[in-house]
Amino acid sequence: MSPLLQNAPRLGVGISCEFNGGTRAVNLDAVALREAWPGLIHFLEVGADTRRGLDDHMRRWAAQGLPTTYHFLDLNLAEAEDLDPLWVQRTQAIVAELSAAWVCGDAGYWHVGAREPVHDVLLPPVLTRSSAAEMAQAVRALSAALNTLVVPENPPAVAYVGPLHLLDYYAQVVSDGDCGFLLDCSHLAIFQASRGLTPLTAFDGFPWERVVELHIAGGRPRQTEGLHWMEDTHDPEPTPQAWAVFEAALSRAKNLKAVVYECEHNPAEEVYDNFVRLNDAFPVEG
Amino acid sequence: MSHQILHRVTARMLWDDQFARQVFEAPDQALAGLDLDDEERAALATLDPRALRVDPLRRRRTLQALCAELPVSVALTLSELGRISSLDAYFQSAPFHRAMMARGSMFLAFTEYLRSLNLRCPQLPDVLRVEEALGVCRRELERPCPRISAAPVPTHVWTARAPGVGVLTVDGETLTWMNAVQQTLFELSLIPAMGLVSDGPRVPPLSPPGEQAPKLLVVHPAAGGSGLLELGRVVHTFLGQLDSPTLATDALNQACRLGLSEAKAESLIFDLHEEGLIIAEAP
Repeated sequence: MSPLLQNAPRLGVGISCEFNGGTRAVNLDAVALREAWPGLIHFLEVGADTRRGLDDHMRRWAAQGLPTTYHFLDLNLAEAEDLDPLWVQRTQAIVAELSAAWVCGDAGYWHVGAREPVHDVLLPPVLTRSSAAEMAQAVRALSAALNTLVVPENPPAVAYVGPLHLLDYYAQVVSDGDCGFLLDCSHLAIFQASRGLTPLTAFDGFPWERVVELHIAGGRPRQTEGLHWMEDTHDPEPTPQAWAVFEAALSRAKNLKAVVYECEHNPAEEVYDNFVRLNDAFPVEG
Repeated sequence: MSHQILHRVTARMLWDDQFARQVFEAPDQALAGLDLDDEERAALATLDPRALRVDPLRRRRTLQALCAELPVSVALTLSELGRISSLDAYFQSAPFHRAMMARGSMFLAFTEYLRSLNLRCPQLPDVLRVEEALGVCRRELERPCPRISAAPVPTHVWTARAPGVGVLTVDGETLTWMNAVQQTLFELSLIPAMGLVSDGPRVPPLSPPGEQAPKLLVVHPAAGGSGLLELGRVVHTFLGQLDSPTLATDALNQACRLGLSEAKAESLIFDLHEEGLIIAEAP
């Protein structure tokens, strides 16, 4: 197993943020929240892209020397040719400024075609062996270029193409790519429901020792022409299915280093209890 | 690799309902010519059609982003055709589908689509060229610039027009037309509901092309403002010659051939470099 993975630091429970989140009507300031709730928020997961870079909120956190992870929003890990030298150079600068513990991000397509503003849309990978092999190759190349642990994440989607189960797909990616894995519990619960499966389907056989980070967030049930689906809205309360995935993953992931509660666009009082619950489940000291 | 084809076809189905329907109803015909096996065709044809429609505003959002870069061209187009469906039809067009399959640019496919409409508006071609050039220059800053990165690199110190800088010659009235249309769009933005009424602001009559001397533009969106500079014939021609990496000595000679003394040519190259309009690198 990669030394980068073996030496990854334990970060505890963190909160997510995205570029210029502060311009939204409701946005939690991680720096202020950490001071208001001592011991509940241990790191910031910075969601950004090379086009816009970092915002003031992200820089204020990093300037205090507090732990971060970097979540890219603009790399198609499912498409090896998307990893170009300019993107690597700009991402290196961001990772250095943040002193990010690792680089993670939804592992699929962040844009259709080349990286252009109009092309932005998050789509899942095609769930086949050849696609997983290409993603593993991209992960290895990215990790080598950044000299940083790369942690792909299962993205949200309503429609998937390809015969593989999501967990079987990423099992191949993380094994062949010799990397960590970020299991988004809510995204997995959405996938299982979309295929009519129970929340813990395909858990057996997954390389849980590679899971270094878990995400959890709330969602909202939607209906389109009679199709029931769950939107990944990042509401305060995760679904029972997402919690079931979280609890089961937590008990299996012996090398878990971090848990992110994706909740920054909600009032603080509505997310406090879940921060307490997550810290009880995954104490920073281990 | 077939998984990339599957991804690109799925994306086309997301944006084009009509194409998706063809895939569901006659996959062999709709997917003819693509390197997909029976199982892969079946995977596409058995997608739940409703799952492709969970975002009813997908096309509108994409159009919004496209129109933001081509506001005047789109205004002239809609002013002539009078139907938003004429823009929606882009997603059923050959340029769109070709771009999606070739990992090309939706933006350039959209400008190709607008040209393919062959509208009567005589001002549209040059307006479209200006807005397209701005978009191309913005894209050159997003990823390795192909006219530089894909070209052979000289063995000695070289120079080239910087990524994100372009040159263009258009009708002398083009910027006047664009300002007039932008004024209309600004008025509409004050009360967007004015777009629903018959007596709201409309594109004013525009002067015909060919009445003024052609305008020589340097396109440089990173400079801010309109991103359009008028720097004179020598600079315009010189920058136009530096499309790809050129030996520094050759670049100096080119500047001299434009009528500059060697000292003035050196000074020009220095100034252009300082202003970020050209780059200079050693191999």
